[in-house]
Amino acid sequence: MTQLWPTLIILGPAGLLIGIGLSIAARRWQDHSDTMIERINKLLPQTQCEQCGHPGCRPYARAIARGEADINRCPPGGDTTIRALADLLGKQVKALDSSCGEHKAPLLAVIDEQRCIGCTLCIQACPVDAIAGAAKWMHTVIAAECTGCELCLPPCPVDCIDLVSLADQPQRRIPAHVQIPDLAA
Amino acid sequence: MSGDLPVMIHPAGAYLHGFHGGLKLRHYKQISTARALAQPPLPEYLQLSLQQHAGSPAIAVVKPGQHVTKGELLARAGDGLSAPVHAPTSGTIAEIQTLPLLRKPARSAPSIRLHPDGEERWHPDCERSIGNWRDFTPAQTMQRIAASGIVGLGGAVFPTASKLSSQWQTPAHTLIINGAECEPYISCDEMLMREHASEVMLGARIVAHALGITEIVIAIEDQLGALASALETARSQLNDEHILVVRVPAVYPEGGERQLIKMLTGLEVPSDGYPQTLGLACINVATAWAVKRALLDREPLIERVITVTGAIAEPRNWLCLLGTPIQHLLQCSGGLTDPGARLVIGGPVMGEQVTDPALGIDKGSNCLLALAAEQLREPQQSMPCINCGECVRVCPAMLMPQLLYHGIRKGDHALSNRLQLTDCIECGCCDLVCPSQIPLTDYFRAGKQLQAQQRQQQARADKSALRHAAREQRLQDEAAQAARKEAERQARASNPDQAQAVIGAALQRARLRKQAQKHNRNDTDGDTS
Repeated sequence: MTQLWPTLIILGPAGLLIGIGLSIAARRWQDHSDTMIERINKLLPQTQCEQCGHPGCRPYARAIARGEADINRCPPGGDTTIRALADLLGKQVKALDSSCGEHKAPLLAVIDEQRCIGCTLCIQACPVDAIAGAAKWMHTVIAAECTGCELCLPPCPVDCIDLVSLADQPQRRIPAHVQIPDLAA
Repeated sequence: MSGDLPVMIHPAGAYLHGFHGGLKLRHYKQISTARALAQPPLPEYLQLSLQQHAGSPAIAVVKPGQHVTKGELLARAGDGLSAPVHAPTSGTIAEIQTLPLLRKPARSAPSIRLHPDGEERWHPDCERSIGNWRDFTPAQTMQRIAASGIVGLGGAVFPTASKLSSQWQTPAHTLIINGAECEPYISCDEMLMREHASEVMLGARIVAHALGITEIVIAIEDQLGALASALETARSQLNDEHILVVRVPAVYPEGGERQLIKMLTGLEVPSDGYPQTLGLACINVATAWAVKRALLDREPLIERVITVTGAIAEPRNWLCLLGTPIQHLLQCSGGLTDPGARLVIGGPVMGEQVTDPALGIDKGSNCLLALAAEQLREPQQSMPCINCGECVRVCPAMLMPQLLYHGIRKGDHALSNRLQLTDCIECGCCDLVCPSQIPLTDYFRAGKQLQAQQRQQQARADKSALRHAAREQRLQDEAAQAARKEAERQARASNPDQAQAVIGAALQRARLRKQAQKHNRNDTDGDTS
């Protein structure tokens, strides 16, 4: 029993010191869980369409990082995004949650400028400020900035916004028997 | 770029090094070299694509119905990397329409149709003196090269001025003139050097002068003995001991820029670098000739030499205006000897099938080849890869084609990135040796395109993420401002006495102002009465 005391006297304070040191270090060089959110956010398509039920891609990334949301709720990203997220988070690949929507080819919003009455409702709805216009003046979509999220459709009172398939990059001729994932679609 | 760059031990061309892989192919070049270089008669129309160069399409500055003179600017260079297009002859602009590209049929670009008037009247700018090129500053020479629409005529059609003006990590020391056209059948560079050897050398000297280079190496294939002596004669006429003519072994693809540099200097151009990284400049012989004509004869790039060969009645090389329709060239060469022949623009290995013979030749068209039906390989069912390693042995870029193939098939872009898919020069050597008949190059082209698409998508996503964040910030700021205003209003409402005082003060001010006005009016009334 007498042998125990010196051990406790030496190891006790030493452990305490190391503990304090580690906790200071941990606070000093904290691994912000923001980096995890950023890494998840980077894998999302940034359509900002809110089909996942979150107000934008970053909030969805935050929810995934906190374990509050599943990884299969992003229709624009489709299987590719789900696979990438599963890889990053070490989770099982799942099918897309059909309650969120279906995977579609990239779209582009186009305003029929003849019918537009200049109500500015779509401008307020656009998550990336890709619609230019002012009250009672014709609006138009900045094609290079539009993500095709469809959020401008519901508020339009005259239904003058159409979604067209984004003109795909012309594809190289590939022999018929060459099957390449994604490119064939 | 990282680490120290290797240094040349021998001067370029003094000692021949090998390069990895490659294939010895039969040449078939003599088919088209029996007849002398000639100009075809003016065609009925010229079809000039505005995308004859790497980068963005040129922007038309002429309108249908307008009359243009020879050498007049038809389209100015677009934004960023681009090159202008000039009128190859005088005539009338018929129409501007969007047509598929000759050498990339899957893409299309605006195209100008020009009806020649047969007068061949030059634009005044092409007859005005521009002074001696030796007095030009490098920037002036480059500007002149850019304004003349000169691009790499070996087939890459990269704007020459942009290529030569880019960053030099090592001081420029050697200019390599690439006359080693390695693909079978193509002899346009050989014929050009045979007939215009001293002009090519002059062009090389102009470029070298602008870059501050003294050493010039002209590389040609080793079996072209007659050509070598023609070049030697031209060199002794110019009396320039800094020009070296080197005969390199004919191993396809020794005419590739990186392969030629490896052969001449023993140095490898870094994967993420350019020849400039090593202090080398490398241009095609036809490009050098175009530079000479731009600076000495004041002619923009309006014609090039093209080989018409294969199953053709009179195969030969034509010095032909840009935009000359394929069918016109065929007619001038006596037509096809085999009605079932397949027309290819470019060589038999890397060429592209001609989809529409009404299209005109562009700056990068070096050969029009008619492959007779019996020369065509039957389309074969490709078999599974057996990992034999033949493709690795022949790959001049030292890649692992069989692994790349698996990566692309699986859609594993990380793997193809790691295996340096971007370094593939699409020479087709792996295709030729594959015992399973796998169209490897097609996979690599598709894989590269997929990578480009993904980069584009990622750039778009990054931008929309930024825009979304900016919008969130703006909404937050607006909300904060509204809240602040509301708080101020609340504060005023909760203190009625102060509000009354403010109103009283305002009323008082208004009353005083009214009185002052009345007073003033009375004064002026008094003055007038």
